[in-house]
Amino acid sequence: MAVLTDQQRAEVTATFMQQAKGPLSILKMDVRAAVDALDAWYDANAGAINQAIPQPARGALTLTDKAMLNNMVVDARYVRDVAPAPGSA
Amino acid sequence: MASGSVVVLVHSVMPPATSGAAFTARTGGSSPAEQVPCYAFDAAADEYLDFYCTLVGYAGGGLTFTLTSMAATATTGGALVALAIRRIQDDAEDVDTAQTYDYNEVRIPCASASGEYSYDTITFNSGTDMDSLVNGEDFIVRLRRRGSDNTASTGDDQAGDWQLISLVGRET
Repeated sequence: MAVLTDQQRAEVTATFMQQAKGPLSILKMDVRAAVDALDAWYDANAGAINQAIPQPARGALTLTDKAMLNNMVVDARYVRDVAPAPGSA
Repeated sequence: MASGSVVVLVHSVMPPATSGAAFTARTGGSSPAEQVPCYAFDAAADEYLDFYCTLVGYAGGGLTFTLTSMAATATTGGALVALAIRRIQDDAEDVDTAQTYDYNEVRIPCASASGEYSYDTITFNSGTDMDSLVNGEDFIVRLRRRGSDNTASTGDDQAGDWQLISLVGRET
């Protein structure tokens, strides 16, 4: 899979700025740079992330389900129980 | 009315049919918590809010609008915010026809903490700058945040929503 398109990255940036817990001490272009870098990192390391999943899940799960699994683990570790800063959505 | 007197009577606030700012409430820090009403303007697209007003006691000195705002989450950067006036002249202006809104724009730097208010002004000279509006007439004030701009330092580089608390119009 190739990296996200410019439009997709812009949409991720906009969505993040709507949902960020905050406070944000960086500018819009800094948020976009982070999106670009993470997208590039996932593109470069997709194979390593896949290898971290043991068999039989690695072979049986679809790409989409593996991505959802990755999101759920990250959410449970770093996002779910964090209260938003005042003013954020 | 004298300079500094409030001459803009806002009788309705309404987002336009598309690209409108969302009405929301910001939860304060007290117990019980305040629910600060505000309109949230997106950081990634242009959004608008219309104020339906009447000019009362205006003596021809121009208008100065004071905008009270907060950043939803940002503690750095600024937002490009503009106002434009559409005069609704008696038996002459048809709201079913299109208006080309002529904006006066400023850059509003965010406060040092996202929950702090920022007070900023936008001025209009008497005459065509305010669509030749005269005392006693109704008019629309359209507010725009140019979130589509991403110019660093001098443009709209503030991440997250810009939250409008209030708009007050005075004679300059």
